[in-house]
Amino acid sequence: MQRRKGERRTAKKPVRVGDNKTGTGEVPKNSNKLAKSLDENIRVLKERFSNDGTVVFRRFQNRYLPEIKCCIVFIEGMIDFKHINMQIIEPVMEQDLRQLSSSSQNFLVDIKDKVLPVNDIEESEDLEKILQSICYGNTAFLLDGYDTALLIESKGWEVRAITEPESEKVIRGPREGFTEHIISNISLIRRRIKNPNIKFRFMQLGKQTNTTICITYIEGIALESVLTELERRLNSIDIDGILDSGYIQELIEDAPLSTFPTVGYTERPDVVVARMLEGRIAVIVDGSPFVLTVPHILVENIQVNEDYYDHFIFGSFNRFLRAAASIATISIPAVYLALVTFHQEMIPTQLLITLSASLEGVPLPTSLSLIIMLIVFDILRQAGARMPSAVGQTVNIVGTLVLGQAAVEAHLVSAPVIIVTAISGITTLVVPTLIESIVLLRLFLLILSSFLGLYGYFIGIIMVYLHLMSLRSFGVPYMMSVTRIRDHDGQDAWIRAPWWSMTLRPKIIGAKNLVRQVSNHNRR
Amino acid sequence: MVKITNKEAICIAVLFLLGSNIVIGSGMDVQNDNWIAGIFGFAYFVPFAFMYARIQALHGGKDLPEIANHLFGRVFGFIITAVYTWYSLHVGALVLRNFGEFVKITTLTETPLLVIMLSFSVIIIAAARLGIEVMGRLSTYALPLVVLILVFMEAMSVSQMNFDFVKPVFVHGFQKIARAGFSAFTFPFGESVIFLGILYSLKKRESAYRIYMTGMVISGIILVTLTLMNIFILGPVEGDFYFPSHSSFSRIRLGDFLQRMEGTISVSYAITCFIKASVCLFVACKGIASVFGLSDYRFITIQTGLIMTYLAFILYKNTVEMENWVINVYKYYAIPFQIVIPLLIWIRAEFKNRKGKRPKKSEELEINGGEQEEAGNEF
Repeated sequence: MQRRKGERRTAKKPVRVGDNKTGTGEVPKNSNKLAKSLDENIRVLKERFSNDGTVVFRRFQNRYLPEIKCCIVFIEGMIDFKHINMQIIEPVMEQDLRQLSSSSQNFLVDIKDKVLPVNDIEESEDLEKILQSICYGNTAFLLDGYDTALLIESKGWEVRAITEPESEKVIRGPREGFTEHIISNISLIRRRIKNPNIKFRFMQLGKQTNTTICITYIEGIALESVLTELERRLNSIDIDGILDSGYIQELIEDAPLSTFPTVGYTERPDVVVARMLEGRIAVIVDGSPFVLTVPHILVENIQVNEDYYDHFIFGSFNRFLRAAASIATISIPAVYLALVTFHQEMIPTQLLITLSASLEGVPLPTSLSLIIMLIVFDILRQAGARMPSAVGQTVNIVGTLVLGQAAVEAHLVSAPVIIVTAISGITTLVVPTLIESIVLLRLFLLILSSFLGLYGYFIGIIMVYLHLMSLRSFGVPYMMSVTRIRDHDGQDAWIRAPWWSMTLRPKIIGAKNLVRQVSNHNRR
Repeated sequence: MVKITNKEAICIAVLFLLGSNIVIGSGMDVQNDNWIAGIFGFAYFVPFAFMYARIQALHGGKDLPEIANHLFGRVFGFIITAVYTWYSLHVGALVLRNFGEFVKITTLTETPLLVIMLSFSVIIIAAARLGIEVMGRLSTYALPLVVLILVFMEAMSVSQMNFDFVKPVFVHGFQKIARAGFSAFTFPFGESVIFLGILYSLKKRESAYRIYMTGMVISGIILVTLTLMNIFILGPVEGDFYFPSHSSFSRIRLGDFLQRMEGTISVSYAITCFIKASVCLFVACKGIASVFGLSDYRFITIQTGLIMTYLAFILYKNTVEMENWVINVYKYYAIPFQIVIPLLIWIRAEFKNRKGKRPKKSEELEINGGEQEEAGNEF
């Protein structure tokens, strides 16, 4: 069984470089070939598709030449009925094939070349390939007396319309988002790069699911070293199923134990194309609207496509706010706790009096109540993300009134704790791709500062910083262009420089073809 | 091999020289002339900086144990390596203790000292383990922050300054001040001899001069300004404070809102002490790895880091003893490490260099060419 699968893969995958788990020297057995007899072929296929009610075997004949017996095999739900009826059954059934038959050397080839008006058709003798093809939604055309089948493209199934992605909305910018259909996703990218240099390499992953994935890059811009490494990592995946690009992301990440993502993902074609233009490589996974991009560095998390479409000063301001918010969200609870419990002298007297008044009568220590409130907030966030929209009102009321106001009025937590939790909670949402790291880091820093004050916070920050410094994504330092402010990398990190000044691509990622534009004469 | 840029090395050097000195101040005892003593210490250090840089420049790409083995053979090289390993371990422990003591006295009064130092040593060990490249990149980030905090605090405290405190200038006489300057030489400037343990990772060997000079000038300016400022705010008794700049910054009062800002300054203390201690730990681990012939120093960072922490814990019984050590003992203790042995190494290196000049020249060129290519490939 294992061997057959391997063959199937190599047959369908021209890009699968240098890795053939089944070994190459094996000769396919006779049982993998079709027989000459139509009945025998149908029997074999039925046997392989046993207990599968969706497979349709439709036998028919030519009306002028009844001795031509043929059968098409397809899977209901994966095909376009109209297409099969009009383009396959009708021509073979209705056309007068007598003349064609009498003059023909190879009748099957003649049918392929002269009868069937379909654009994508291929011949195959390999049973496994035929089975695979049927599973993909193609139609197999079997003719009595020939041990070759025609595999006719007839895919057709319900797909979700291209809509604006829920997770990445913009005010200004294209509103298209990826869907679950890989071909339409590819077309979304292709439509933006009208250039033969853009390459799409296909491969299948997942031993059971046989999910199609596609590596996309622009030749001449993408780094070969990253491409080879990506292929090596993808080829070493040996999982049974891939349901979302998240599987692949986790399987190819550089630092799987780190919560910081070293593989980027997005739902927007314009973002993917922008990243590809900087030298990155995208991985499209069938069935997932999230397209992966590598290498992924920290600063990409605060870059939003709208920055590039708005005025650059406004874009820079927004980006700065995002950076500040992401730092604030992990720091505010920890710093507040440190100030209140260890460094009261740093709080101005008036504020200190107010604070201590609010702490009056609260049974829990500040550290504990902060931790509890942050966890409650995260629970609310979880509930909000998954709940049916009908109960949204209830969650809102419970969240705001009961847990907020009522808790303060009942002196269970102090009001500043609620405020700190709220600020920290809101700022989490500013950088959605880092949310996993932020939620955990916030608690980590909070715990550290609960027993060492500001020094604990400092120790935590340095630890995070050292960790980030040691991270790499496909050979690219994760903190690239965050630490270096002066050279051209800094143009697109903390700020977004105007387009006419960004003449170069990012340093290491775009090193192969550094020049983005020579210069813009309108401006200089 | 890991390489650091000149900028990173300079940033490490500045932070290293500031480390723990901005916390406890130098052990100078000439009161309102302390700042002049600082300038003297700086002046004394200039020839030594050249000497250290020269040692490194003669042996590009080699760290201290390798230089010692190369110059003195196995046995004496071993001894010198062991001595410097001890010295950097000790300096690291001193820094850790200084910072721990500072934290314990000013903020976490009820937390045991060992807990403070142990938690601090976690990041020191992590940094030493990740190596000099990460430390360098961290420093380029941290130095502007430290300088910014110091400048900000100094600007804030102008209203607290009494410029008459510095008068009469030179009241202690040239001789006494010059002698006090020696204190400033040994701590912090002379401690940069430990820096020889990391400069091997420079891209070009000649940059050792630049790093020593620039690092020394920047940190010298910061330290002298800080001493001067402490004198302006605290008066001639500045030297009697355990943590002078902390005390002077705690007097900042701007309206009702900005006051007691010393918590901010402790961030820059923490950064500088952290960098200095990690450099010391890194060099010590490298030394131990060389002495015992280990292939990788990373295996022993945790153990050495813990030894350093315990050493820091048992160094003194209390803060007074620490002050006594800094003011009265350290300047003599440091002489062999900072003056005698480097001098020996330098003389020996010069002789060896003269002797083998002809073949060495071509080798040098080759190495430089190769390194440049490597640097080009990297980015």
